[in-house]
Amino acid sequence: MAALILLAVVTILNFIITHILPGDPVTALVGQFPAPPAYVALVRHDYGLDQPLYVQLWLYLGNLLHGNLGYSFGSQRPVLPLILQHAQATLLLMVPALTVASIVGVWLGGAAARRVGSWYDNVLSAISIGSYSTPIFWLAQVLIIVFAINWHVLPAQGMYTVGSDYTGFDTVSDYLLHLALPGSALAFFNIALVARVARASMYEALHQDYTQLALAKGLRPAYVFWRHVLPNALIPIVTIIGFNFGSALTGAVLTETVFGWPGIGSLFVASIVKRDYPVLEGIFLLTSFAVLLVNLITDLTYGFIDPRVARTYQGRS
Amino acid sequence: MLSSVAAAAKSVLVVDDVHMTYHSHGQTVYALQGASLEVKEGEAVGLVGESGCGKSSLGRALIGLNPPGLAVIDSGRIVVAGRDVTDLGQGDWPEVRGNPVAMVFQDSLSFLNPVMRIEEQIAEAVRTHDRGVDVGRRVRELTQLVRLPSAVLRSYPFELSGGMRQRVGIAIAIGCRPRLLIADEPTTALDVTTQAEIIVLIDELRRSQGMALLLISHDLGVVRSVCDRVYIMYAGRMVEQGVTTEVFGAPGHPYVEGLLAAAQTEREGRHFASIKGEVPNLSSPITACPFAPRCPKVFEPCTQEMPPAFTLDPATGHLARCWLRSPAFESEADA
Amino acid sequence: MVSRVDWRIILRQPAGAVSATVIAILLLLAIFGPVLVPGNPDHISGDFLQPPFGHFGLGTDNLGRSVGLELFYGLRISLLVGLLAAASATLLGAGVGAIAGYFGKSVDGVVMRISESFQVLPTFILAALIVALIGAGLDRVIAVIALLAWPQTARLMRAQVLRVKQLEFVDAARCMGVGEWRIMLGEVIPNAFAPILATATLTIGDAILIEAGLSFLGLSDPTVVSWGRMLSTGQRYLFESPWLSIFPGLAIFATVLVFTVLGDVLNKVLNPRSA
Repeated sequence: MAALILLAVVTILNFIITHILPGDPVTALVGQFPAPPAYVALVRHDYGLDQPLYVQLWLYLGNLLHGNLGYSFGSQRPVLPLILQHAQATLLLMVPALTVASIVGVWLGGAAARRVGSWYDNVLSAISIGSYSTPIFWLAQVLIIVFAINWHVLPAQGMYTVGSDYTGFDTVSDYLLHLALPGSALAFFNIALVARVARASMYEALHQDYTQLALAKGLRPAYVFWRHVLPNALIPIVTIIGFNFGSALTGAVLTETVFGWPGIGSLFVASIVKRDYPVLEGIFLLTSFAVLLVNLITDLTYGFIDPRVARTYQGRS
Repeated sequence: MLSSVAAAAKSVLVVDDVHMTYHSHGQTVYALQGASLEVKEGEAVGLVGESGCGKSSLGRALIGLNPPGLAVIDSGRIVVAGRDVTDLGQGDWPEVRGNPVAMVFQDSLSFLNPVMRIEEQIAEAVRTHDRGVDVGRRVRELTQLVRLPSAVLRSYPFELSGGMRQRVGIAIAIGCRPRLLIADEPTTALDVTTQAEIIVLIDELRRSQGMALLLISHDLGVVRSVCDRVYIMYAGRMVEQGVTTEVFGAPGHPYVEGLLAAAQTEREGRHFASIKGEVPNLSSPITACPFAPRCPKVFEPCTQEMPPAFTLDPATGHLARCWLRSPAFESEADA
Repeated sequence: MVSRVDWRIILRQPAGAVSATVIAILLLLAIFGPVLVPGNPDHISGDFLQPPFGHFGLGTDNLGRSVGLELFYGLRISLLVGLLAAASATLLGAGVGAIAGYFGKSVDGVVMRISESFQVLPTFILAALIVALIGAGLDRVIAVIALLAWPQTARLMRAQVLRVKQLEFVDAARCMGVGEWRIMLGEVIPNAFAPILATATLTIGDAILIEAGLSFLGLSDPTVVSWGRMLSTGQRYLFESPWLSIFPGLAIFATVLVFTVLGDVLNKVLNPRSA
C-alpha cells in the first residue's frame, strides 16, 4: 500500500539527511576544544561513522527494526525510550486541545453556515485569516503575558507545579490549570481551521436536496439537522482534521517551547541546541510515522463512515 | 378560477387565486400571478406547463418547501385538507407534511440521504405517521407495494437505479399515509420504459390507497394517461382547465393547441413544431394575456386585459382564459 | 502571463486594494529604508531593557539594541526570505508540475508520489532538522523553505495543465506543427498560470512564518536581525520586558496577514470556483 512506501521513503530520507548533508556530527560530539585526531577517529569509529555509506544504511535499518534509534549524545540514554517518554506529555497536550478545538470548531462553523454573509460569518472568516497569519509561538507568549503575568490567573510554565506533592484529584486539577494556556494556544489555531472546513461542509449539506425530502416526510427541522445534515457534513470535516494532524503536531512542538511543557517539542529544541543528532533524527522519524499513521487511520475511517467509498472498496459497483 | 361544481368540504386541496413572489439579490420574481386549482378526495389531477411557468413553485408551496424568507405569498389562499396553510409558520408545517400531503420528487438520487440505508429512510416516514405499527413489517410491506425486492432495504441510494430510487421515493410518500400525493415531475429524470412503469405504479397505488393525486409535469402524455382532470399553467396562472380528454381533445386556448401540436409532431418523429417565441419574463406582473406575444390568433383585447375564465362546457367544468372564448366573440364569429 | 490577470478586479475589492497598498509600502520601506531611517540595529548601547514610549523609541533589548531599528531591519529580512523562498518554490513547483501534467505517464507518477510524501511529513520539523544539520545561513534557510513548499505549487500547476491542455487551441497549435515543448511553454503554461499567483502569494506568508519559527528556535543566521530571533530573546525576558515579544510578533502577524489577505483575494478572483 501507499502508506508502506511512504514509510520507507521517510526512513531513507531520514538517513540521507543526516548522513549525506554537510555538517559533521562528530565535531559536535567532541566538543568545542580542538581534540586530538586520534580521539576524533575513535569517536567516529564508535559511532560507526567511518564505515562506507551503504554499510551505515544497513546498520541503521537493522537498528531501527530492533527499536534501536541510537543513543542521545547529550544524555547518554537510548533515544527511543527518551522520545516516547516525552511523547506522553505531548499527547496530554494535544489530545484535549484538539478534541475541544474540533467540537468548538464544528459548532462555530455550523453556526456560520446557517448565517452565510452575516456579520457573524464575516467575523469568523476574519478570525480564520488572522489565525492563519499568526505565529503560534507569539500567541503563546501573548497569552502568558495577559493571563500569567498581568492577571496572575494561570501558570505560565511547565506541566506540573514544580516541587509539588499532589495526589489524586489535586494532580488532575494542577495538570488542568497548567494545560489551560498552552492548550488554548493550540486549540485556537485548530478551531479556526476546523471552523472554516465545517462552514463549507455544513453549508453544502444544509442545501442538499435530501433535506427537502426529509422535511417533506414531516420530520422536524431539528431532527433533520442532527440525523441527516450533520452526518453528511461531518465526513469531510473528520478527514480534514485527520490530515491536519501533521501541522497540529508542529503547532504543539512550538507551543511547548514557549511554555516549557515537557514534551517532544521541548526535547526537540534542547536537542537542537546541543546538536544531539540521534535524538533529532529520532524525533523526525517518529513524528513522521505518527503523522503517517494518523493519515492512514483517517483514510480508513473515511472509508468506514462513507458507504459510497466503503462499498467501492469491497468491489461492489 | 374555481369550478362552480366543487363543494369545498370534499376537496383535499384548494388553491384560490394565489399570488407569490420571490425576493433575492434585490430582484423580485412574480412566480405566481393568480394560480387557482382544486383537487377532490381520491381524484387525479394534472398540472401541466413548461419550465418557468410556476408549477414547481406552486407544488413546493403546497408542502411549505419554498425558502421562507425569500418566497412570499402576497394574496390568495391555500387550503390543505380543510386547513388554511397560506401563512403557516415553519414550526407548524411538520404537522401538514407527510400527512395529509406527501410529495414525490423528481430525481431521487439527490433527494435521498446518501449515507443512510433505504430501510431507515422509509422507516422514518412510517415512524412519524404510523404510530404503534410494527415498523419493520410495514417497511417491508411498502417495499412490496412499490414492487421492489427486499434486498434494497439494506442498500444505499447510490447502489440503486433511477427507477428503483423513484420507487423508494414513492414508498416513503405512501408510508406517510397521505390523503394527497403530489408528484413533481416524477418521471422526468427516467428513461422512457421506466417512465411508463413508474407512472403506472403511481396510478395503481393512488387507487388502491385511496389517495388524491396532483401530478405536475411538462409531459402531456404522462398526464393524459393518469389524470381525470388537468390544469394548464402559463406565466404563473391557469389558462385552461377541465376534464383531461376534453381539454386535450378540443382545447380552448391557443397555447394548449400549440402544446398538443408540438407533442404530436414529436411523437410522429417529425421535426418540432414548437411554439414561436419564449416564455415571458416574470420580473414584473403581467396584466394582459401573457401568451399574447406568441399567440397566432392574437387580436385586440389580448394585449389590453387578462381574460377571465370563460366556460366552454358547464357540465364538465371546462374553462379557458382566452378572449376567443368570450360569448361576445363567439357569437360575433358565428355571425 | 501576469498581464493576463485583470488587476482592476483585484484592486476594486477593498481587501485587495488595502493589502496591495500595504505590501507596496512595506516593499518600499524595505528597499529604501536604510536611507530613510538611519541607525544600526546591531549597535550595542548601555541602556538595556528600556521600556518603550519613553526615551528609547520602542524600547531596547537585553543588549541595548533599539527594538525599533531591529523591527525595521527584520522587515527587510522577512520580506527577502519570503519573496525569494516563494519565488523559488513557485518556479520549481510550477516547472515540475507543468512537466508532470503535460507529459504525464511515469513522470507524472513520480512527481505525484513525491509531492504526496511531502504532504504527509511534518514539514516544519523536517526544516528544523535540516537547518540544524547544514548550518544556518540565510541562503540555506531560503533553500530549505523552497524545498518544502514546491510540492503544493506543483500539484496545482499539474491540475491546471491537465485542464488547459485539453482545450482546443492546444490542438490547433499542434496542427500547425508547433513542437510539444513550445506548446507547453508558449500556450499551456501562460493560461494555466493565474491560480499559481494566488498560491505564490500565500507561500510568501508561509515562508515568513517558517523563517520566524526557525529563528525562534535559534536556527537562523545569527548575523542578521530576524523577528523570530527577537521573539526568542523576548521569551527569556517575558516577565520583565514583555514589549520585546509583543512588537516583533505584531510585525510578523501584520506582514503575513497582508500577504494572506492578498492571496485570498487572488484566490477568489483567479481560481475556478469550488463548491
